[in-house]
Amino acid sequence: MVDATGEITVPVSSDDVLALDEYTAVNLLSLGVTPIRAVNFFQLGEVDAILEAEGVDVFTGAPFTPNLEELSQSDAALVAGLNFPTIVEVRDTIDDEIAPTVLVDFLSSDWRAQLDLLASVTGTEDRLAELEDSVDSAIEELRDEIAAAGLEGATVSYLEETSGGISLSQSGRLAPSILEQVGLARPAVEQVEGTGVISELSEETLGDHDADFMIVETDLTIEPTVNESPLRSDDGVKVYVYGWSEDVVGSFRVLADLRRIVLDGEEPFGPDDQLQIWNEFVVPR
Amino acid sequence: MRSTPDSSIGLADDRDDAAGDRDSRVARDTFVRRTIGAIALLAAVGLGALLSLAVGTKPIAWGTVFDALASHDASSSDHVIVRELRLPRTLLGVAVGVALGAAGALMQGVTRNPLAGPGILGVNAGAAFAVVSGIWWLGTSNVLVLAWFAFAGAAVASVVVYLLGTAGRGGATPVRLALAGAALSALLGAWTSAVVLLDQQTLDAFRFWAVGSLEGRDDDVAWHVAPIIAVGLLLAFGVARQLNAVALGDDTARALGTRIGTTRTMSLVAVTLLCGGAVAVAGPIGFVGLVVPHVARAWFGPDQRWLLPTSALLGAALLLFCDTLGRVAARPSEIQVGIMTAAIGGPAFIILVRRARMAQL
Repeated sequence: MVDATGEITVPVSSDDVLALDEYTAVNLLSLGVTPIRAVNFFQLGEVDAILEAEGVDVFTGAPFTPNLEELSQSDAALVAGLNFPTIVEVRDTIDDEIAPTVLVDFLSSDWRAQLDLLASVTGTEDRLAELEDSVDSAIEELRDEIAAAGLEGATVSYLEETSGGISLSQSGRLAPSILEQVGLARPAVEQVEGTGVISELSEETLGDHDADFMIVETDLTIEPTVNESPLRSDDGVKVYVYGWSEDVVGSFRVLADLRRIVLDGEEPFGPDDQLQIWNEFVVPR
Repeated sequence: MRSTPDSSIGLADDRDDAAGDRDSRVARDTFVRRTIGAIALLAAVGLGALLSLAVGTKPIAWGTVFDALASHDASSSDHVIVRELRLPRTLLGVAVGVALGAAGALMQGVTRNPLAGPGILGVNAGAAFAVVSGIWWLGTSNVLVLAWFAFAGAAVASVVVYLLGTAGRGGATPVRLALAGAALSALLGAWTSAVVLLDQQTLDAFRFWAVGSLEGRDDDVAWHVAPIIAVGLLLAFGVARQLNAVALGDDTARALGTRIGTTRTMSLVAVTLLCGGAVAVAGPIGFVGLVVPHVARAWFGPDQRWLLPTSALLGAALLLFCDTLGRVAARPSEIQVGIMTAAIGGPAFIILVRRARMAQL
């Protein structure tokens, strides 16, 4: 098996998995595996409600810093995490002292590949197939409804606004690819090949991003302002969305928000609705 | 030939006259040189402002820029860019550059320390700590709210440094003030680091503020700090003559009738207003306050009556050029002005150090 740092052999186990970060913990939960413990590694608070609701024992230390002493007290059979630099640094120690470790590519925008790795080390491939079918069906359903409503080809501008300014996701990332799959089109200026993000987009260029729907993803660290810019056209629908993350929960959230915004003319889900999305779309039934 | 006493006196008078002529010629040359330099600086600020209005991420024709300024059409996106984005940003660039340039010259003059910059009084550290605290406790990212936090933090920090620097016998000396500033900066820096380490969201918001930028600040913010910076400038220009005497040493300055304590206090209040105002609206922009006075001194000499206003003008010109460059260097993205000034100021500082012009305060 090849994980994000090279070839590795780990025992297949869905029990006693230690998650090195909160997002890996949620990925494991989506596969039906409840980690015995999870580290609140990034501390962004986006998935706290899910972890709490699912009864995961969360350990909080300094952000971005694995606490080896604390980790060593976990009686884990398998350790899973992201190949974040500070984790890669101590990966060998975790491997030797705690349990075999598998790291998923931190920068990957392909949640299926990420879950594929976790499913293969936890023996939950069936559950992954179920999840993938579920997402694909939801995409297909929304595409049909958008077409039936005569909105196929409607333009959707999708930008992100954080404390670092405005940024633009390239076409290969999760939300842009879902927009394309459901039959919506981004403005020409946003159709940039790649799976990265163009950051620090100048406010002066905002006028080039006019569209039928102007969606700005934001987080809880700022009061978003992009849609209030004098350069934004008043002709389109302007909304702020939250939590369009590059994972399975993000996939369902993008689909649910698009349904509300484009078809129902409603406000998208709010920042506190993560648990609702989880319960409604992801939790194994 | 032996000269008579009368002819000796005549020769001495001739020498005095020649020296007097030479002095007045030197003074005249210096005045002309300074006047030419000042006019060039004014032109540079004007050119910088013009470029700042005309050049940006989105190319806009010069004719459209002038139209936008002369007869604004709110339905034209180009006019909106010029009037509502670039114009406030240009005015803010002038204000912040003037404040940082003048504050740097003032700090170097009052502390007689060529390495002194606006941060030496703990102003930047105080502002940073207050901003981090504001983000952490209130969860706000509002530019105007953070600006007031930054200003309050800068003001409190400089007052604490002044109290520490004047405590005990002997009163405030440049060394004591610099040490107090360094100590408080270290303490506040540690607290700031502790908060951002403990809270990821605060770190996210703070790390972009800490770079220093003029982007996204509207008229509102500029109008709030303009009076603060204006008062700081008036105070700075008011103590320029006394600072010339202070540069000769405390004893000589006292002998010349200068009230050293008052001069230092006025200078520190001016630095606090100038730096606090600048940091509040743009974040801690490095190198302007440190490098600009050295460049100005190389042309205009150490006379504070020239050095302060010309450092202010040079600071404004540098900031405008750096900000404009940052807008076009990475289209469609922007590079913050704090990064540009550091990228240009760093090499400039090394050149200055190698030429050993710094010590001539």
